[in-house]
Amino acid sequence: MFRYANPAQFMRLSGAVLPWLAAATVLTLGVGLYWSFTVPPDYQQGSTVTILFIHVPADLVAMGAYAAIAVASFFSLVWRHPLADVAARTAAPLGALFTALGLITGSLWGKPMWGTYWVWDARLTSFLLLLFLYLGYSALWNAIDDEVRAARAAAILALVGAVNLPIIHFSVVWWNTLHQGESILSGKIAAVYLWPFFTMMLGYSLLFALLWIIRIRTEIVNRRARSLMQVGT
Amino acid sequence: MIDLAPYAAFILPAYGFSALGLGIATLLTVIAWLKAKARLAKLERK
Amino acid sequence: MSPFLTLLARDLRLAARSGGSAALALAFFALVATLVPLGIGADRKLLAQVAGGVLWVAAVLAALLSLDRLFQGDYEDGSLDVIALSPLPLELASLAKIMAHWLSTGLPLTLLSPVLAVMFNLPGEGTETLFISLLLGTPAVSAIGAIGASLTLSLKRGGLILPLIILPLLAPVVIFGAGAVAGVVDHLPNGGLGLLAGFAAASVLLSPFVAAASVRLNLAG
Repeated sequence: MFRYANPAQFMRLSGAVLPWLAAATVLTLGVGLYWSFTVPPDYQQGSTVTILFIHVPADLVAMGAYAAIAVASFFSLVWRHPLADVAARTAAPLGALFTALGLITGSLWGKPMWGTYWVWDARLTSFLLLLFLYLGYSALWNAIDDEVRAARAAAILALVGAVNLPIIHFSVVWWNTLHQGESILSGKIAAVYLWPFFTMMLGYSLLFALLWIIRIRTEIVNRRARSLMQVGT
Repeated sequence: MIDLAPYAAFILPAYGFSALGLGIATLLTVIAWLKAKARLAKLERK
Repeated sequence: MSPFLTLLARDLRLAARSGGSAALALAFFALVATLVPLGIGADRKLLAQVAGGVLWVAAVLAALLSLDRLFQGDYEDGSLDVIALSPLPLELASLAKIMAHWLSTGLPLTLLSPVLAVMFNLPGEGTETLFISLLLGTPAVSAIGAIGASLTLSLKRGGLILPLIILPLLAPVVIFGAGAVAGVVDHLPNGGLGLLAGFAAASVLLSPFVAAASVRLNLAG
């Protein structure tokens, strides 16, 4: 497993994969977008159903990115995997972006449904808190000067956040039932929507992976550059 | 194509913000990569 | 006296000396409780409804004030190294600090709450529930706060990102605590206090381990 731990190995492998990944991303998103705009309108939501095709994928990537950070943090703390820190740190701004997009699209989807741009429902509220978790995580990385310390501290914070996240979500759901918030529309999706749905989910995931890998490669290159500068070539 | 008519004011901004956000992220990511590569190349040439 | 109690007593003495963190927290708590009605109006029914939430948020913010110094002072003058090397396990030392923090902020806040509840026109059983919720929940605030404090102990201006780090983690405490009070005010009992107790117990039990790990990583560097 740790054959890929070697940065040079990672660079080689990711370099080979990257063009294919980029092509797959563009293709998938293209097809997904086409389908998103050619479905029939929903009986309840009308044409706003198209927003769901970019809202739900954004939310899922937002959660997936945090899970990825938690796993990377675990590897970083327990096995001192050298690339784990880089992976975790670079994933965070991307995760925050997808969370923000999820909130924006969720709000725009909700306005025709509920009449306001923001409702304190369980999902939006949970994702708002997730956004703050991302911001705190990145802030901690940036605040601590010592790279090694920053990595360890951020890893601890990510794991604490990961453990707390289900509890936070549960408490928000509980809170929502108390105050009789808006109920989420029933989870059943008509079959005709499944194709654009899954395609966009795949497309968003591929895009995240693409950007993430490029950022990790960038960080590896920057580290090499920094070590060269220190040696005083 | 699905008729956006009654909800275009919501659908278009939703797609617009998403495209903008993801587009800028992609742009910044690629620019950072190119800058990093250029810097390393310069250092390795020395 | 056991090393645990020695550390606890020392931290309490330090807290009392450095500008009396209890007094500061209490003053802040009372000030927020005064400002909110000024901000939202004196409608007694409205105030009774928001009392739980407002007072809980105020209590959390007040407890936050003295958190960044929890480990930082000892880190800066080298006492933390001594504590780490002493026979007392770092986990117990962290627990002692959490307890000292609670005794000097959370507990006083809890004791003042019935007075502030009056200002919010909270009915008797609401006040009772508020008191119990604060009693159960403020230890969790100290515990989770200690995690944030230990992660940021090396930062000069660490106090600025400490709230950003721990407030999201404290959302369940505020939700359960204020929710319990709201339930009593609306005559719709919910399991808020039970959930709060569970969360608080888990936090107090687990956070010393996390705090100790953070302290070790900061001392190792």
